[in-house]
Amino acid sequence: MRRITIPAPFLFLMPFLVILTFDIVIPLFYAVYTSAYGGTGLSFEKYVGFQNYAAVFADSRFWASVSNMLYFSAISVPVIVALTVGLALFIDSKIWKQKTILKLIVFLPYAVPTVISGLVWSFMFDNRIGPVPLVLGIFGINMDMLSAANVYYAMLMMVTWAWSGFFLIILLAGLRTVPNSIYEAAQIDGASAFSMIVDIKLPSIGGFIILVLAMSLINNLLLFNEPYILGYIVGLPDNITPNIYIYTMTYKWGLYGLGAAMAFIMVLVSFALSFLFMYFTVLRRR
Amino acid sequence: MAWLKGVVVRLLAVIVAAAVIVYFLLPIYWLVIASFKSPGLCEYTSLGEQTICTNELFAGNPLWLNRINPIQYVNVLSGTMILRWIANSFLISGSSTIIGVLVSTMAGYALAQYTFKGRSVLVLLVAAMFMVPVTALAVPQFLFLLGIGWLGTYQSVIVPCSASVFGVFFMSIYIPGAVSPSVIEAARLDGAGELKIFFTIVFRLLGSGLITLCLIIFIGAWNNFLLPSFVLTDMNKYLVTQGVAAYMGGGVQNRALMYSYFISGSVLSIVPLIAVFVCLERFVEKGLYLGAWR
Repeated sequence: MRRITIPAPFLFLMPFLVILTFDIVIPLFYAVYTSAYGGTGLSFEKYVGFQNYAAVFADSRFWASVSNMLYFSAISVPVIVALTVGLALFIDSKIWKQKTILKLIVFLPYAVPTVISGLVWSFMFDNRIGPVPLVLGIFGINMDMLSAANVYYAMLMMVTWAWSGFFLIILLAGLRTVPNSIYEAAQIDGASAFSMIVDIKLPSIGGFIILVLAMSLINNLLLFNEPYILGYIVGLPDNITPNIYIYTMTYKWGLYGLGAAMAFIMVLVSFALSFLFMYFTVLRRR
Repeated sequence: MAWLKGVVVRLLAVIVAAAVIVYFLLPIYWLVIASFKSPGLCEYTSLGEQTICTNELFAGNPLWLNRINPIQYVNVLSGTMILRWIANSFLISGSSTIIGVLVSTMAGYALAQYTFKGRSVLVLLVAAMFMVPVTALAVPQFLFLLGIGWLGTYQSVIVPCSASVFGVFFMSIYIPGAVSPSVIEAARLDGAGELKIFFTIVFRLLGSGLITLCLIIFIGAWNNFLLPSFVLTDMNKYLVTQGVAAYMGGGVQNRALMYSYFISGSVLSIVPLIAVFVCLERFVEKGLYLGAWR
């Protein structure tokens, strides 16, 4: 009897492909299938075709949730990119010596679940038990971070806190890819510290900066944990972010078809965004 | 004036570093401090507005601890199933990590080591899914798990958490740098099979990369909240993130108890992870450095 041999690469890929199919491919097809039916619950009786998608496109509250997060991203993405790039250059420079401890401190929040950090920051903003009003008061700022008007700033503090460390490590890894000989050559040519940053460091980590930008944008568009926690404390509208809206539709109201349609649209958007980014930075250069 | 410039630069550096340290450490510092204060009881006026709080958590300095009071920990340990939830989280994150690291390292190895038909399609696919957050897929996954009757089971969270597209991508870049092709060639000439080469030689050479991936998948699973809150509705099976957030919607009349659950519950839920993280952080950094994609 002949032994059937599977080519090695497929042997190694098989487990991943099985999990991928089970976790992503089938659920997505299933979501599309579900979205073709109306009514509540998982009943496949009322076939509606594309009506759920038509309803999503006509739903101004859904688009409001998307524009909420685009607005939030317009604030938070530049902040987190500027902060992490600045920090990476700071740690990479010669003016600060205790690099290890600073990196550890910035990276530490990565190990805190965002549900917990959302909760902790909410308490931090609370003027009865938290220190933030006290600290703001020192600078003469009287601002209630837990009012509905300031909710984007509250989320900004949470998201920046949670994600900066991971982005910082990626950017520092990028700075390491610059060969030392380039710096030495620039030094011999008498380049100033400023020109080293602008002419050598920033261009050489351009791809990494775009990676951070893209990850932060996609994460913000699909934010859930932080607004979920804040929603309980401040009382936010159920369409503050697309994911909160989808959660409300699906889980609270049982509109599975409609929720599936929205979720599928958001998955496509994030697929497209991350694909575009990867295509233009990493893949095209290989 | 060179010395003056040096002093100014040094001073600015200290200010920047201090601001960074305060921002990133203050929440954890405050949380630990607050967890050792008595939350007492707040009294409400008839209008429900002004509160008179005769206790340390509300009345004291938020940044200072006068004496250690373990009452919150007593409350949370006796009033909730926090230890069970932590154990659940360990079970789910641990299982996901073992499966996820193995599966994505193998797949990353296949992409890095072999040329085969369909490779470029797969690379594109991995690239497109690499940054899609778990929250995007939660609803489709929930509907599918509901459809196949897996709701309420641990595997309904473990399996989705162990698909690490990031891991595949990371390993496909990390492996060529960590394992030299000549080692694999030599093993092949000795007659070792492909699987044997992978498990006995390649796997051992991945040190920091493996630790990095373990930690990233473990933290990702521990952090997961949306999918578990869809599928694990039995309190006995809650993950610790669900457990701490469980009392958000009310259900606890006593405010002192509620604050205990939130504050010391949060501490208990992050301590195991932070401990592991502090020990392994340098490997993660090294792993990501070596895997820096160019």
